[in-house]
Amino acid sequence: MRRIATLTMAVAGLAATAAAANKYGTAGCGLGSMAFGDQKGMIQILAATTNGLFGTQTFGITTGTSNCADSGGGVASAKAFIETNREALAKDIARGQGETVKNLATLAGCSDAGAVGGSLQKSFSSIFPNASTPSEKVSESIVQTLRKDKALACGKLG
Amino acid sequence: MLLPLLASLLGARAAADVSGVEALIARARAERLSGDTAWIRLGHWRRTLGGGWKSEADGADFFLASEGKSDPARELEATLRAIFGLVPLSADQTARGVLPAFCRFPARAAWLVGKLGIDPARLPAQRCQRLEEYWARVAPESVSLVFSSYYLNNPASAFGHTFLRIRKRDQDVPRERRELLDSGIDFSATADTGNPLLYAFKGLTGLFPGSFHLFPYYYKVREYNDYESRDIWEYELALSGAQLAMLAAHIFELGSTYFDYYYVDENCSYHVLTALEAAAPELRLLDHVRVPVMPADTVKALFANPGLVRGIRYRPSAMTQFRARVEGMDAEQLTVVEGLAADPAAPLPRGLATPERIRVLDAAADLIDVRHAQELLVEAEGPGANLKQRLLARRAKLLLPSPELSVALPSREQPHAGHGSGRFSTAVGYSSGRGPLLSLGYRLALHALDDPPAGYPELSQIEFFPASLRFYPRDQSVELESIDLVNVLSLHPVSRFDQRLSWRVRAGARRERDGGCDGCLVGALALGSGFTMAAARESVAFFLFADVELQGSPALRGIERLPALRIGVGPSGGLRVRMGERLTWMGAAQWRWLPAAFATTTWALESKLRWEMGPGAAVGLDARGQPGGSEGALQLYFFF
Repeated sequence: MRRIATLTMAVAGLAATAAAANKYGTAGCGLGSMAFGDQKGMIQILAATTNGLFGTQTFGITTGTSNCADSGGGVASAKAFIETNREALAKDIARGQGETVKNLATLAGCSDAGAVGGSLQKSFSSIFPNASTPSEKVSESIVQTLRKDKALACGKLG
Repeated sequence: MLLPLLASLLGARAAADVSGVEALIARARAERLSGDTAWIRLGHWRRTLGGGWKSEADGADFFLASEGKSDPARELEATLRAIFGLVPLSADQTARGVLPAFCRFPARAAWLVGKLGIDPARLPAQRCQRLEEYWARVAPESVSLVFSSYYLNNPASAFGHTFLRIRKRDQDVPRERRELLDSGIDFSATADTGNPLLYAFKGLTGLFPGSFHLFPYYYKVREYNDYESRDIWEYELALSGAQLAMLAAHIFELGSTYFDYYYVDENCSYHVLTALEAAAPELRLLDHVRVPVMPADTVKALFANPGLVRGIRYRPSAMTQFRARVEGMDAEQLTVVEGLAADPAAPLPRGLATPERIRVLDAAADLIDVRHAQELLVEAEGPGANLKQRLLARRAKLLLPSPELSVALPSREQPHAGHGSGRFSTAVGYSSGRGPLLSLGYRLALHALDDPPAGYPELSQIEFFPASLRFYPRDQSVELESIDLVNVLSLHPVSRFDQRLSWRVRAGARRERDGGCDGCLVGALALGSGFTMAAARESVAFFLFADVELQGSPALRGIERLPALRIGVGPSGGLRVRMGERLTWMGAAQWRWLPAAFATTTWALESKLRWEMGPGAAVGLDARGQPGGSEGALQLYFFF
């Protein structure tokens, strides 16, 4: 169920962007929460001709949250980023580099994204011990890995 | 110049100057400020048929005057009072947590302060915490209009989608290290039903509320690039610092309201343009789109304002990335990739050098992501998740970074380069049964397989309301030849990595000419599915389908007991060949078994030759045959 988290979805209604990231914690930022419902398949073709022009959210996201929306850097926004980007990040970590690793390095305040990639790649099996590892565990391990590796000097992780 | 102004609006200020407000209102009246284009756009007012005004915004909190929705002047006066803290919240608004009027309208305030030359020091001391937080988060450095490509597999996205990306200012970090950390802002409907018919009805009649939402940009990237495998195009706009500030401020204002969402006109792409127009009154965007508002047309509207687009960026989908990774691989490497995607522990050929190992493992990881994109998000223990886990663990053990993948911008696919979404055609021809014919054709949207290829997916067709009318001089009669509600064809070439079925659906009415129908107009719903093969970079494509079709018409000689109906089952196929950039030939054939009908079989053959004469115009030579007659026509097409 890790990725089907019950979600008060991850988007901040603009006027409600008040709350700071750590106020809500990071639970519920996973992509898996998107309500796909029965909005798929050919049976929808009639609706298609009307609704798609038309660009509705396949995500079914309506109002959101500021907890995930913050990208100012620090532990909370790094964790939110990790949990939402889990699938892409797992691939980039295995590859030792990539866009999600670079952006994570920025949120964590690490100056050398290449070194971050190398350090996380080395720890791949402890960060992702198996497919069903909950995303909150993944984000916690990543933050710990970055903190422990003093040479990375990830200044925003405290 | 507005940036410091907005900043001063955010901070603490001196005591309110109430006495001056009425004087300001009098000046605003004298200068007729409420008729200024900028003001009208900030309030989203439109002229009514009766010559009055009505705002498209439907949320009551967007108006400070009780008749603000229909009266820009009253609303302007109320806004001036609000800026000076003279418009209190109602008890109900306080209970709902609505922001104080002063905080709710930073763009209106900035515009009025500038226009009337109000000294910011005269404004009341009042902090707007939410606005400050919003401002810190968005911190606009630039804005792009983002087009997420056509996606036929989800009908809701078949025409593409547009939204805004506001790039955040951050001098300390190079741009490439914060590509995902910006704000994505879109306008979308809050659908409250999964029932397709109800959905369509509510969508057409404006029964869903639509509103603006702010996302971290990485949500959008994951959704479109990965989950739906859609290419993303970013059109960066040359807005001034002041315009950018107004845009960000106005989007904040829009966050307090909603608009009834109409799929055909007041849709996502439309409101993205209204927001841009409000921020920059010198822009003319809506003048260049028409109903139905097509996302790609809104991109073209940007180009109708010279100099507005200052850069185009391309973000390849997961599928495009995978294709780039396997490009140039030999057959043996491709076999290894295929094997790894099915069994991550599969032995690698002996002697395969480490860079090559990395290459095949990385390609296989992308393939697993593409194949299992939807399952990966919802099933932690699913087959895709387990494959991916094992493959990535193996890849990580090599302890070397992968080379960066770069995918060049495919200039032919740029959405703004596509032909117009509407099509008008005229033809002169000859029918074996009726003699000479003249024809007029119209298509509301969007693209057919034989249309010019630039800007559209090469193997997808989505036609919405194509219709043609004929005049037969010999009989002096005008007749409706065909009208479809929708005609979609989605071809997926079968490859070693992609065995998805192709499919088609058509709903509409056409004249049939066979043993059961002598040119009668027959309503039909046809569904088909099958295989596609493509070669030479998809310039040659062949497809073979199994179809089922239900036809109905009072004039039909159909099933014995139910003559108005007949059911057709059978194969169909087609071949499309692109010869160079401008010339296209397409042939199609179908055969139908019509069980228990008056005539038990029917067939059709079709040939279309198209020559693109220049932007927006094509000429064609068509031939069509059925058991009851054949015809040919010379066609002229105009895209608009």
